[in-house]
Amino acid sequence: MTTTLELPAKRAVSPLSSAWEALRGGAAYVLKFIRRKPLGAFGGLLVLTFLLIAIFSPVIAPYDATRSVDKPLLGLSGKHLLGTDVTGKDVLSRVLVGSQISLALAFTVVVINVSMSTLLGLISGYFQGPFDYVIQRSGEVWAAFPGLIALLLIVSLLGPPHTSKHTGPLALFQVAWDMRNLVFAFSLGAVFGGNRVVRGVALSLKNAEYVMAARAIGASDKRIILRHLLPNVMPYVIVFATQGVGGVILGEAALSFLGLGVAPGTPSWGQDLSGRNRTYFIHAPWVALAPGIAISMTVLGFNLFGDALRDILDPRLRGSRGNT
Amino acid sequence: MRQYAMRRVLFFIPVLLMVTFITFFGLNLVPGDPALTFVGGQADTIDLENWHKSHHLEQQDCLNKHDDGSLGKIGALDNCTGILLTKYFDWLGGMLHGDPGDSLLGGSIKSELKARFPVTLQILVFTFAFTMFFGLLFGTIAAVFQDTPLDYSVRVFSIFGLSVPNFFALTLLLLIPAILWRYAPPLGYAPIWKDPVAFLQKMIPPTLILSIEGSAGLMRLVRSALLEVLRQDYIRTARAKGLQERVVFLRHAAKNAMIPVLTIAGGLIAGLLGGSLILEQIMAMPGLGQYTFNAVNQSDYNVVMTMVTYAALVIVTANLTVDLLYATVDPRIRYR
Repeated sequence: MTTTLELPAKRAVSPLSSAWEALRGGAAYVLKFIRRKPLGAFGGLLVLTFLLIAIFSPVIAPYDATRSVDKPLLGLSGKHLLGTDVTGKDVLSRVLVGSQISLALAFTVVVINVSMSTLLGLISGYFQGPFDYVIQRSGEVWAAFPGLIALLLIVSLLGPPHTSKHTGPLALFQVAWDMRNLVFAFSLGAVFGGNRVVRGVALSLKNAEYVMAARAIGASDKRIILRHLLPNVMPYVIVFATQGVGGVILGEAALSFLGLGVAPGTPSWGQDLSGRNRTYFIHAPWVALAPGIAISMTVLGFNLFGDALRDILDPRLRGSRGNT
Repeated sequence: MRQYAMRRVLFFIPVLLMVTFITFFGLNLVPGDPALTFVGGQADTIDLENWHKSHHLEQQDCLNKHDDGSLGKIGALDNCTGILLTKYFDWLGGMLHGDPGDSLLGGSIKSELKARFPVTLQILVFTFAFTMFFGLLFGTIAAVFQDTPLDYSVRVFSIFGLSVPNFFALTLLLLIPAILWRYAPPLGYAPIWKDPVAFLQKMIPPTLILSIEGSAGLMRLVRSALLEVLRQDYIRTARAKGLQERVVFLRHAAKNAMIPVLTIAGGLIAGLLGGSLILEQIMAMPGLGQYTFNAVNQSDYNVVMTMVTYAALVIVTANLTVDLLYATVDPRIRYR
């Protein structure tokens, strides 16, 4: 009796209180995540910190990162917390602004990877046929290219990205747009990999009983893909994409280190470890340590977070496997 | 098994052809003219046509003529496909005869390769050996001593090892001893037979550092694969039969845990090619990576083509070997 009485009351929930419910549910989930996966939560915190730094770097950087502001190779001091580099630029400002490159690239590639891998993987896994054949063979050809050399080739074909200084609230998006060539290069590899993962799952689910049942009652292909396959594929894509982020950041840093990433002079972690700075690292180790540690910490954050996410989301691994 | 192997080997050829084809067209469509990079100066001050002719780049005349300023020189593709294809097959024929031709800088590519190949090969062998040794050793230790401080330290090391970029680690290799002990690890390369001591001095430290990334990944994989296998019923059965722990581990567990390890061994080699390039760049070693890097920077067509082809050959062969080994270890694969 009571249950029938409660039903209409539940329906009449105001949008505000349902938003509150969702918020509370979300907070509870976050708390549970922190309790179950403290290391993963620490990783997530690192990522969040660097993301905030990247978003607010134009505001919080004490100096103009692209300009010489003092004598070269000054030590750590109150005026320059991390000293100055070989051309007298403030190292702290460069590390803060440099985060824009890595984070903008990382997040753009993740978004592209998740959406494109899901789309292509579902289509090629569900329908198979010539489309699937073309995608799979292209993936195999791509896999035969030596990674770093393929990146070097794409960047030299499309031209290096022309990053300019952005300070507005949308700076991160503008940086990502400036780097579209790099984004393309990294997404290509990521999508070929992610698409395989999704395709595999879609192939195995395609003949699962519940999908057959849906087909038997006359569900359209579109409905089966969107309502039955998509939700099951998402955990794999998210895990794959987060675990790949570290590689993307390291790849961009390596490219910039080799002088083929962002334009010379742009604050970028990889680039700050190369070039004329190198000659003076022994006299001014902070110039090398600051960007190097920044890259390592960001990648560490993504790795820890990705691992925790895998443990939680990947049903195959639930309860088994080591939880490194 | 033989049929499976044949199928895999035959598949190898079209993949390699596609790689060379894409690289060839990609390189030719790069904006700008290699003549300008090499000779320097403006287009009107040098005789482009003559330069192209003497460097076997006649296709560039056509591409330049029809270039409409769109992405790369893609706009010119309609008119120049014929000459590009002719040039491509010329080059392919040369490659098949074992002669990659000349570098745009002058000088035969073959003799460069001969001099540089041992350097890169030694880097790869050392790094691969270190990776396998440390990865297998510490991965096993972590699995056997699960949830002990030993296990935790391996896991902490591996997660950090995966996060530090190799060029930063190599920079630290040069930096830390210099600051702490005023000792700078020697740069460059010493031939192995002429001066073995100097060779090891120059080879071991950087390859050890370069192996961190791979062995960190391998450790995690070996650990989780072993833990997975050790929980299986047949391991319990083997123990119940009263087999010695050593036998259980080596004969029953290790063999099956090797399957996932094998799968990443192929990818490891592909990654090492890039790692070697960075190592050669930082440690000033005259290897193939350095050669490739300079060639890409100067768009030295023939050299890039040759290096990409050989690198792809290495990667495809590695993957093929892994696939075949895989099928030998795991009979289920063959019948798919």
